[in-house]
Amino acid sequence: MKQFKIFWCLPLSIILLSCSTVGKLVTNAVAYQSVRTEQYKADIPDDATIAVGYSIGYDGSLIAIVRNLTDQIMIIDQTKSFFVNSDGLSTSYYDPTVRTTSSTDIQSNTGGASVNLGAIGGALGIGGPLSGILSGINVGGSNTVGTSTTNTTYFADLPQISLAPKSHGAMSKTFIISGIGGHGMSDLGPMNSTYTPQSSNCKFSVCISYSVDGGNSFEKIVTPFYVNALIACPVKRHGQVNEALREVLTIKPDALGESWWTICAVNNYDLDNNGFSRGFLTDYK
Amino acid sequence: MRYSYTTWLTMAFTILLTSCHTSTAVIVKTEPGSEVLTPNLTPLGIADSEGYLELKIDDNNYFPFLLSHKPNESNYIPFALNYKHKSRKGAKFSGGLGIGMAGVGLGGMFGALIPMIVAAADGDDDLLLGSAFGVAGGGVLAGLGCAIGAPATERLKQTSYQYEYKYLPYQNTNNDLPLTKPQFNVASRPETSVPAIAVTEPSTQVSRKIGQVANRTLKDYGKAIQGEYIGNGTLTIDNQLVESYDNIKIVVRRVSKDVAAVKVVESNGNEYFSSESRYKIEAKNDGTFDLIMEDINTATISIDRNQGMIYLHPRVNIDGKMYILRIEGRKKVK
Repeated sequence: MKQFKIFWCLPLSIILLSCSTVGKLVTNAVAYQSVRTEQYKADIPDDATIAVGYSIGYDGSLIAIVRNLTDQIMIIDQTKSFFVNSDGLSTSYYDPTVRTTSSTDIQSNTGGASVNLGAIGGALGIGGPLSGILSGINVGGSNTVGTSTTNTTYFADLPQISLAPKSHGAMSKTFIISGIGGHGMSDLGPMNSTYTPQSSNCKFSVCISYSVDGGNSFEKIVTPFYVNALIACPVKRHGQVNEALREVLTIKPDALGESWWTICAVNNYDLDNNGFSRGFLTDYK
Repeated sequence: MRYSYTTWLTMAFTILLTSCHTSTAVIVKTEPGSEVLTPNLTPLGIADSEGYLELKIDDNNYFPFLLSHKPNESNYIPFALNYKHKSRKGAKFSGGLGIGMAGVGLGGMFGALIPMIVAAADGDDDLLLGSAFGVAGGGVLAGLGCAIGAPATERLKQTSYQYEYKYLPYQNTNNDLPLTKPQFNVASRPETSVPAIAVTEPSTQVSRKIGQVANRTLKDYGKAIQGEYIGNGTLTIDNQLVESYDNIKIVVRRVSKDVAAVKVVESNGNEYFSSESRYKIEAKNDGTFDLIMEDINTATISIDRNQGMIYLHPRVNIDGKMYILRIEGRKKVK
């Protein structure tokens, strides 16, 4: 009888092991991060010249959308426009030798929330049919591969481009901000930190050079950003993730009102859709 | 080993169940009329008059969070989906069993096929009949194995099976939490939005276009903060200390009411930078000042009410490398 049982145990073990799974999902914490511009600017005044909307995806991808608020043709000098990453590295918006994620070749597999560019268009004072064009584009979190938008929306990857009066366009490159979004929170332990522009551990900025006098002189709009809050609450009972999320929202009741924020389930496995981001940031001059 | 009739029936039922089920039903409790959406704002449903909404979540999709949206409100409030560990042994067993049965069946089928061919050639009817039954039996077993194993194997590829979790049947939203709006430091309007008046030459004649002249002038922040600040500093790169400075001086010179020129001077009298830097002065309501460098917005100086200063310059270029210079000091009392 014993041999009989052993005889059947062997093929049974093989049968069970032949169909295996990856492993047990464990969510260790819920993490929250928010970003602000160093100077919060509310409504865009009527006499502003330029407005810029910033979309940040859950993967930390940054896209800048420029709106020409004047009646003149605006020239954007992409060689003198920069993204300064949180590690201090500065990259020009036009540099043929720099490899970045460009608007014509976006590969994004974050599965996070898409940011509706129509919403950004609305905030930049864009209305009418143009916002309809923007609303069809998913940014930073969509599962897009290959060409994601038409050239009429994104600036071409050229040294200088012209922007018609009262029109808009997206800067030619998408940059990944170090330490922002899901990949900046994937291994966080319990923490509750708020920062000022001076004390923040993650700061980055964008500088856009533009001219409204036909290229005779260029001005710049510099927008510095900083992480103002980083919170991670542990999941105390296995699978009770909402308890940890509620703790985050209790620690920071204004969390959902920040201009841009993201939340992430800190898991032992890196699954698609671990989190998502919402909101966008604006600046004007 | 002998199993009871009930045990065999349970095993067969489990196999059938795990073969067909591809989504998990959850019931979300929220306010009546609230909408539940994915983080991508894809609507999933609206809660009924009692505040219940039943969702079917595809087992191939992992959603740690969903959004809840109260009617007539603009906020989308996230809530997390709670889950439990589910080992998925049924699907594993079904998949393995199916593969095993299919293998045995195919083996038996091909094993009986050769004798059947030989029997047909030799005209051995008894062997032919027996072999035919063997081929048919093997084929049936193989087919049954595929029918059981294939769906189970496909199920095991789904996300909730791969990572052994199952959403709890009842979920709650976070609409009850008292949420607030953040306070922002609103930036001042740029000068171009206000018609310019010469600040150094007050005028008694004022056009109606620019309003009524007040019996006061704006505070001179440049005058309030100008002077010498002495302290200690560090020069770092990648969080590594490169140099430290004792008795390093920061000289603040008033340019206008809200602009200052700053230079840094080491204890031996050498100027740290090749030229002064211009800073815009911002006064806070609590009596502190923030100075922001005009060309490098991340270079800042904070001055508190006790005339203590924190100087931070994150982009000090020395031989092409970027260093961070940080100085803490206090105003020198004359």
